[in-house]
Amino acid sequence: MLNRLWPILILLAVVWGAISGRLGEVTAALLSSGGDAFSLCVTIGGTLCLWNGVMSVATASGVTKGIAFLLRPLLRWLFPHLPPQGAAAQAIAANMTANLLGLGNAATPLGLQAMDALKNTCPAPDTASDEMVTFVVMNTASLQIFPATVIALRQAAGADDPFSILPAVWAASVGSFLIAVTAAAVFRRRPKGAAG
Amino acid sequence: MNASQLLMPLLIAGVILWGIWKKVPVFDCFSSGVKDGVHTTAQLLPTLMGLLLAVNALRASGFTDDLARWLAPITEKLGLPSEIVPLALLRPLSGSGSLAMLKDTLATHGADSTVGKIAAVLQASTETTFYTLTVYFGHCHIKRTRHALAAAATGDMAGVLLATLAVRLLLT
Repeated sequence: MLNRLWPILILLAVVWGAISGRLGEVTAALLSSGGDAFSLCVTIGGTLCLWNGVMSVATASGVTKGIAFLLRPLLRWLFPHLPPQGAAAQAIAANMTANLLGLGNAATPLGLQAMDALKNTCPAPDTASDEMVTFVVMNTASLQIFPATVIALRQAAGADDPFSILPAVWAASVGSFLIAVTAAAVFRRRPKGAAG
Repeated sequence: MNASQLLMPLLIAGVILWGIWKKVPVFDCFSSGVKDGVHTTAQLLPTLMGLLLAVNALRASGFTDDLARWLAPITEKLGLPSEIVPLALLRPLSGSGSLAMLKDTLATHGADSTVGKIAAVLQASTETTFYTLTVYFGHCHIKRTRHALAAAATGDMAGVLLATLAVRLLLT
C-alpha cells in the first residue's frame, strides 16, 4: 500500500510546490523531517512504553481474561451462529480485548488466529463468510479505552489537560463501531434473498 | 483536579495492586512490557520518517490548505471544519501518516483549539481501515470480501462525523 501511496504524496508535494512557487518551503520541510520523525518517536515512544508496561502487568494478572468474559454478551450478539466456547469465539474475544487496551501488536496475531478459526467453518475457500466480514469490520472500527499515542501527542503540543478528550473519543468510537457493524449486517443481504 | 486526571494514577495503582494480589512479579512484568514498547517504537520510526517527510512536504507546498479550501463548501454543510479534511482522508490509509498529520494539525492550530481536539478524537476513534482489510483478508487468501469495504467505509465516515459532533457537544 505505502509503495504506491508514498511516491504519490511526495511527487504531489514537489509538483504542487513548483506550481505554487513554494519549492523553497518544500525543501525546508524535507530537510527538517528527519529530526521531526525522531522527536515524534521519542514523544510517543515514552507513553507507548509506559502503557505497554502497565498493560503487561494487567495481562499477567488475568485482567484481560476478565475483560474477555465481560465481552461475551456482545460477541453473542455480533456472532449469533458461533459456538461461544469455540476456538473462533475465544480468539475474537482475545483480539477485542487487546484492541480495547490499545495493544495493537498483540491484537493483530490474535485477530489473524481468529480469521483462521473462522475460515475453518467457511463454506467457500476464497469468499468471506458473514462472520469474517463482521470481524474484520470490527477491527477497522477502533474501540480503544486509552489512546496512548494521541494523548502523548496532545501533551507534547502543550494541551492544558491531555486527557480531556477521552469522553469524546469513547462516544465517537463506540458510535462508529456500532454503525460499522450495523452496516455489515445491513449490507449482508444479497439481492434475490440469497442467504449469506 | 478533574475526573480525567484521576484516571491514570487510579488505573496504574489498581493494576499494580491487582497484580500483587494475584502474586504476579509486578516489576518484572512491567519492564518486559516496556521492552516490547521499545521494540514497537523502533519499528515505528522508519514508516513515521517516510510519512512525516510526505506530510511536511505536502503542507509546505500548500496542497493541504488548497484541498481544504476547495472542499470547504461541502464540509461546511456537514458541520466539519475543512482543516481536518486532509487528516480524515489519510487516516484510513496510513496510521503513521495520519499520526504525522495530527502532529502538524496540533502544532498549527493548537492542542486546545476545536480543530485540534477534533483531529485528536478522529485519530483516536478510527483505524487504518485499508491496511486492516488487506492484512486480515490477505492472511487467509480471501479474494471476494463482499460487503466488508462498504461497511468499513461507512464506519469511517461515521467516525469523522461523530468525532466532530462529540467534540462540539462534549468538549466545548
